[in-house]
Amino acid sequence: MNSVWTLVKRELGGFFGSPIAYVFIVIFLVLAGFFTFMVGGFLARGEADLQVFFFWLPWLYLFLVPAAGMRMWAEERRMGTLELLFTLPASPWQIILGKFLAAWAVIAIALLLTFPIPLTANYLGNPDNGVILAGYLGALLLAAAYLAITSATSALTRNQVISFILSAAVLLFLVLAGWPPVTDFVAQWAGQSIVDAIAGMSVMTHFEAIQRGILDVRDVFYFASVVFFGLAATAVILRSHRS
Amino acid sequence: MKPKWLQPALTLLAILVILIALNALFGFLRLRFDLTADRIYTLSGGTKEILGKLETPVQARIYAGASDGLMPPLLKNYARRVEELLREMSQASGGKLEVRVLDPKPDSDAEDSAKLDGIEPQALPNGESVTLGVSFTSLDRKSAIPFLSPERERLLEYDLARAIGQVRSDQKPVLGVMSPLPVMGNPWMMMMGRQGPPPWVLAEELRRNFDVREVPPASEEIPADISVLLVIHPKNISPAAEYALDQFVLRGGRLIVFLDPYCLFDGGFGGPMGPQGTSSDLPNLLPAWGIQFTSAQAVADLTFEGRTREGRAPWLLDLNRTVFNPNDPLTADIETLMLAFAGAFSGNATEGLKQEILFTSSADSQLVDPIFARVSPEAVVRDFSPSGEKKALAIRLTGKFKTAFPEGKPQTEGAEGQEESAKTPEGLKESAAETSVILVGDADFIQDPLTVTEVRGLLPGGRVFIPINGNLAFAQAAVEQLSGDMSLISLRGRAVGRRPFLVLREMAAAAEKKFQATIRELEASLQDTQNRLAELERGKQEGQKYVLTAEQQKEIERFRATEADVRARLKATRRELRAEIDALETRLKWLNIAAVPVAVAIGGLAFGLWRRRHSRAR
Repeated sequence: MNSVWTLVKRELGGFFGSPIAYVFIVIFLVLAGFFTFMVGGFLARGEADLQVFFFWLPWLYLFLVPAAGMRMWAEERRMGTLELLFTLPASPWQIILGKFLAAWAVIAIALLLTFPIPLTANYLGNPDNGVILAGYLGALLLAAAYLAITSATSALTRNQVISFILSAAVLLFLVLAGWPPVTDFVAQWAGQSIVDAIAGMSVMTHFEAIQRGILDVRDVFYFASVVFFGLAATAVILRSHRS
Repeated sequence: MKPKWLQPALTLLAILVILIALNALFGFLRLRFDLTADRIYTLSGGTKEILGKLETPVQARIYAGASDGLMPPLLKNYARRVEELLREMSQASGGKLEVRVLDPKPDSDAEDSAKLDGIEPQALPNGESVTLGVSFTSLDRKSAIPFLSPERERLLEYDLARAIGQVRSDQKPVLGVMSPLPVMGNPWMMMMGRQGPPPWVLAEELRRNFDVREVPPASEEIPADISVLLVIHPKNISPAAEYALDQFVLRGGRLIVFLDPYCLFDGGFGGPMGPQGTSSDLPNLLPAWGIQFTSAQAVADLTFEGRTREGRAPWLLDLNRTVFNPNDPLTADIETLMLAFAGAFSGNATEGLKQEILFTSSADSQLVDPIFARVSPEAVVRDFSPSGEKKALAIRLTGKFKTAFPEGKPQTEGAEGQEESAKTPEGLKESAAETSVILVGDADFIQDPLTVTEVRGLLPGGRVFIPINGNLAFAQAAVEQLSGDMSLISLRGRAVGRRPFLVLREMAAAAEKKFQATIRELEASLQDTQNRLAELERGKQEGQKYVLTAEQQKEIERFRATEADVRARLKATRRELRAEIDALETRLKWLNIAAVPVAVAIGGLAFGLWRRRHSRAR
């Protein structure tokens, strides 16, 4: 585990040593605040809850997480430092995990820095803080899932832009999988169980469930599965590049 | 020759399949943590009590399915949640509750069973139909929820527990409803083939749990088998009817009365002034119990003031928990209540009776004439002078009651001679055992326009009523508490999830008060100026017809200028009123959108510069 921690520190140093992390955090915060207060009418709505904030989050993340993660592997491959990375005294899994955790940490920090919003809700009224806590937990899990997919697409190509587009496309599919127009389309050429399977893969179902205030083991397991799959895909793709 | 990417792709596919399978497996696990403050997704104590009291086994059958086999995802997920909740309840019942899930496919046994149980499929826009209902049977008793609408999810536990309660071996208590208002709908109009008003939502809900009987408002005696009597807006109640109520209470009956100084939703549509409200009171009973009711005045409240489409409505009380009795089961689980033109109770209960106040207004309240308040709410606000004390809007009296008619049954006017009256039997003078009476100061409190909103629902033709406050929950809890079934009570009140921005509301109220005096002055001055102007205009017509003297001209000009000036000042003052709130809102927006990003940006720049300096130094 020590090696993972070292890697995380190294990566974080890289993030915060350059403008990248700051730009990401600032843009995320401004957009989140803007959508919540201006577009979402948080104050006008008059309800002391963060529903408006969490409504926009999956869509904000759809663009921002691929942007944060697109350089994870694409950069190393482009600069040729990938081989160097794998000569470090750490197993490939630890390296992949290290990079992933570091990027996730940046997203988590950005999420934590939205603290003025729940503070405002608490100042103006008496919100259900348990539901708010659940919402944040759900957001963290959502970000982890998105990031794992981005990690995989980033490993596929040397080009960061392609990684971004691929990742955003896959995430969009995951988000829309439970949407009736999509399920209806699938239903035309597949049986009920396949339709169910696809709808069950939708990120939104599980995110919304957690957002209601229930931390269900099954939803947590879903996000964990997506993370596992994304990281496993990263490992498989990287290995095939090296051989 | 295998392509290079085949091996990795297969590996990934294998992993994907395994994960999907695992997720499906996990689907059977039921472990979750309810993080909500009100624990709205956990079984409440009341439910567990009911389940614990089950003596005979109860079979629950969930019917879920679509006619073409494709259930909409939303309903499918909801069906899953319903099943989970029932399985949790089954566990809590120690196995007495058995749960089965059936798919009523066309021409299947399940479909027949669903029909027999009273489950109703709903039509879908594409022509197919979908079923999501649950039925409960125990021995020979049956109850069902024909369609479980996702919009009513927050009441799911209550609906299920109530349906289970209905099949327990206990008898359904008999509830009487005595009211001049069409609480149960208007059967006469329907018999004449006209579309009459439908029964109130309250009546429908009560029918599910009770054997509801209508009692004519002029009754001189309440039937002996009625154990709980709901009296709603007894306007112009006759002494004989009051005597009937008096005797009802004395024989141990439980009474719930909704009085009103101005019942807004009574009297049809009236004349050009719009609906005319009516008032009701219990002129003989209340004094005997030591209570007074303001049957000619309504409570206006600036802290809990509501709004209507026409604007401010200080007579519309939007109450929250801060004025509810915190310990009483009737108010323990309710978040908000709404009253329109409510009267207040005062006085001390007579000896032998205990008074419990259920909810009040704020101290920032005043009694006003209801018609005046309705026509000029702005004037009420302007001239408001708070009484400084909270007014009791609903109370419960418990104990042994004494008769309000010590002379016996009151004589009816005219007609029969003295011999008739000599024959009437002596009534009860005192109640033998303890009984309870609940008094609420508003009869609009339980009417549909104030308590529920109709929601289209996701399926066409589906009408669902969603409670918009705790009023119905309170009324039902009152009936259930007085009918002796305490277990269901703690299940109510979860219907309301509104948590408004109290701070903004208080600020608005405070700002109002601050500028009240100024606005009042300005408006008065404006009125004066306009009166003077009118006088001057009239003055000119009397004598000169078309020619004005120079002085008159000048005076008119002066007053016009004053009028414009006062108007401008009035506008400015009104703007100042909002200014504080607008300032707060703007400040909050800036804080939330810009404060932290700016801090991060500065921090980042500072850090960057610091590092650059450090690396240069080396």
